[in-house]
Amino acid sequence: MFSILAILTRNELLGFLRSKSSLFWAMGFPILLLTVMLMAFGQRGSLGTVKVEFLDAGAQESADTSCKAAIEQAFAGADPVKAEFSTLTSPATVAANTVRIVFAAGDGPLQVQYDFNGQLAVRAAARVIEIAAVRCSAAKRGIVSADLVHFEDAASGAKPFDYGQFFTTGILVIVLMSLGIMSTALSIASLREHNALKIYACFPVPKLVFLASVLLSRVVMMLVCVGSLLLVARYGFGIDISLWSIQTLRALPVILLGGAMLLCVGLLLASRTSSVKETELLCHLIHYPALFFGNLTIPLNDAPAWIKNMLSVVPINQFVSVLRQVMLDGTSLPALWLPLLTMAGWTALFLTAATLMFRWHKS
Amino acid sequence: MNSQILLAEETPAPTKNAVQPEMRSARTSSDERYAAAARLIQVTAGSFRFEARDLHLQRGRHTAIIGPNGAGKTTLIEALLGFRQAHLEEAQILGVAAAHFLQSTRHRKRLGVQLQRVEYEDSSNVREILDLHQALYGRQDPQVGQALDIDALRKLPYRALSRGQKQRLDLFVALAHHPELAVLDEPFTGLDRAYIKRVAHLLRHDLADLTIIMICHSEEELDTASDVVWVCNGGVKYCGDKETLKNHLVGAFHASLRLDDSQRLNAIRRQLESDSATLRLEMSSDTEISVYGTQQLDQSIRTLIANVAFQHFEFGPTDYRDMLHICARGEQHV
Repeated sequence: MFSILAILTRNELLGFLRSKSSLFWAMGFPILLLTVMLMAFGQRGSLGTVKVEFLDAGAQESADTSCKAAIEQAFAGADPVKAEFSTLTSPATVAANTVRIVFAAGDGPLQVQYDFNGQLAVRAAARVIEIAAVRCSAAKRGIVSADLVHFEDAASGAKPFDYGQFFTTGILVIVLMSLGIMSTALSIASLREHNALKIYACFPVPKLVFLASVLLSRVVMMLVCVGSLLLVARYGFGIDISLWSIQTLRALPVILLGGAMLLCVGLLLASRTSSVKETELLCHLIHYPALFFGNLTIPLNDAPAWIKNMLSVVPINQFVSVLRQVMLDGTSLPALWLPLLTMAGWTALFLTAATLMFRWHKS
Repeated sequence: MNSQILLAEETPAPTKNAVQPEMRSARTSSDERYAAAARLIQVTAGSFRFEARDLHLQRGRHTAIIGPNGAGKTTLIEALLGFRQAHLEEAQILGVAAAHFLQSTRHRKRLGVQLQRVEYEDSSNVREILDLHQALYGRQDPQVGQALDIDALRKLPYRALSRGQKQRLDLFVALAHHPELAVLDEPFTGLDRAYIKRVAHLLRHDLADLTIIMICHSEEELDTASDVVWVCNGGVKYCGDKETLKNHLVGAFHASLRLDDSQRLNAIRRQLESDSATLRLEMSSDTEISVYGTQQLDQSIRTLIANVAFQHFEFGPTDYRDMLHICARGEQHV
C-alpha cells in the first residue's frame, strides 16, 4: 500500500509542477504580493519618504543656514518619516510630497512650506523640521534642549511593529490557504466532475490512502512554497526574520499544524460538491473574508474590541496569531498550548467531517 | 402476428428475503454463478424512475446492455456499482452484496471499469496512470497493451490525447489486469475502425473467458456479446440469451417492400398480418412495408414478389443490427 501512496503522491506532485497556474499562485503570486505591499507600506512602520527642499542660500542672500545640518540630522533615524534632501536654486510650486525650507534673513522666522491638508508623511515631516529648528535656535541662544525636555525610554518589551514581518507571515498563511483550501478542493471537485473519482472508487485503493496522497503532496508543496517565500523575504527584501534559528524550528510544527488544518478545510469543502463552479464559490466564501478579516495583510489593530474578540476564535486568525507569536516574538510552544490545542481540535473536526461526508460520485 | 413477445428468460427463483450482512459469507454456490444479480433495483431522480426486478447476469458471459438513449442503461450499472442512490434488494456483484463490494479493496481488485466521459487531471501524463495501474493490480497483460497500442501513448501528456486515445487508455485500465468482471460503457465509442476490429478481436478471443457487462450502442459491440439486457422505458424488458431475443423480436427473415399503389399495399399488409410466420410488421410510409418473421415468411414473400410488381423489394436473413435497431427505438415500437 505504501508504494501506491508513493505513486499517487508523486503523480500529484508532478501534476503540480507541470501546472503553470498552480506554480504562479503558490510561488509567484505571494512574492509579487509581498513586493507590492512593501512598496506601499515600507517595512518598519515608517510613514514613507518625503522630499525636503532647501532653497539655495544664493537665492536668499544673508540667510541664516546654520540649522540645515540639525534638520538633516533629525531625519537620520527615519522615524517616523524618511526624507530625501535636495537644494533648490529658484522658487517653484511646492509639490504634494514635498516640504520646502526657506531660511530667514536676519531675525525673521524659518519658513516651512507644505500642503497643510496634504499627506500625513508631509505633515509629520514639517513637525520634525519644526522641532529641529527650535532646538537649533535654542542652542544658539545657549539653551540646551535636554535641560528643558527629557525623553525617557519606558520600554514595554513589545517589539516595534514591522510591516515586513507582518506581511511575510500573513502572506505565508495566504500561501497555505491557497494550497490547502483552493488547490485541494478544486482538484478533488475537478476529478469528481470529470468522473475520474468514480474510476478511483473502483481501483483497489482505500479511500484514506487516496485522500492521504492528496494531503501529503500538498504538504510537500506547502513546505517548498513557504521556504521560497521566506528566503525571498529574508535575502531579497532583507526582512528581519531569522531563518536559521531555534525560533524558526519552533514555527515548523505550527506551520504544519496550520497547513493540515487548512487542507482539512479544503477536503471538507470538496467532500460533496458536484462541480468545480460550486466548489469555487464555497472556496471564495472562505478565502476572501479571510483575506480581509484574517489579520493577514490588513492590520486589524483599530478594529472594535468585540470584532477582535469574535475574530480571535476564527481558525485562520488563530493560526496567524500563533505563528507570529512563535516566529516573530519568540514565544515557546508550551506557552501557546491552548491556541495550539484549539487548532488541533479544528483540524480533527474538519478531517472527521470530510471523511464522513466524502463521496466519490456526484449524486 | 404475435401480439406480445416473451421478455423474461427463466432464472432460478431468488430467495424471498433480503440477505442479511452476517449471512453474506454463507452464500450458496448458486450466487457465484452470477456476475451481478438483484431482486430489485429502484432509482428515482427527479421525474426519472428506473425499476428492474429479478435481474441475473451470468458469469463467464459477455452481456450487452442495450436500449434507447435515456432508458436507464447507465443508471442500471451505476446503481449496481453504488454510484447512484438506489434502493437495492438482494443485489450482489460476484457473489458479494453490492452495497459492500466497492467498500473492500480485495473485491475491487476483481473489477475493471471503463466509463464514459472520464477525464483524469490535465496535468497528468499517461505513464503515471499506467504506473498506478501496475502498482494497484500487479499485472498488465501485454496482449491487451498490444491490441490497444498502449506503448504509443505512454510518453504523452494526458491533455494531448484525442478522444479515441483516451478511450484506449480507459479500456487498458479496465482490462489489462484480467478482472473477474469488466464493466464497460460503450467500449468502442471514439475508436477508429482499425481499433474497433482490434478490440472486438480482443474481447472475442483473448479475453473470451472474462465476464463482461457492457453498455452497447453499436453492432460491433453487440457482436462480442453472448447475452443481452434490454433496458427500455425505465425498466428491464429482457435479460438473457442474445439469440433468443433476436428470434423473438425480428425472427430469422426480413423483407422490405415498396409499392406506390397504397390500396394494394394495404391489402398486402393485411395479408401478411394474418400470416402466422409474421412476427412484426411496420409501415414506414404509405408506400413501404417492413416485415420480420420466421423462415416460413420467405415463401410468402417470394410468392408476393412473383405476383406483384413492387417498385422496390429486398429480403434476406435478419441479423443483430435489426435487433439492435428495434431495441434502440424503445418499447412503443415493439
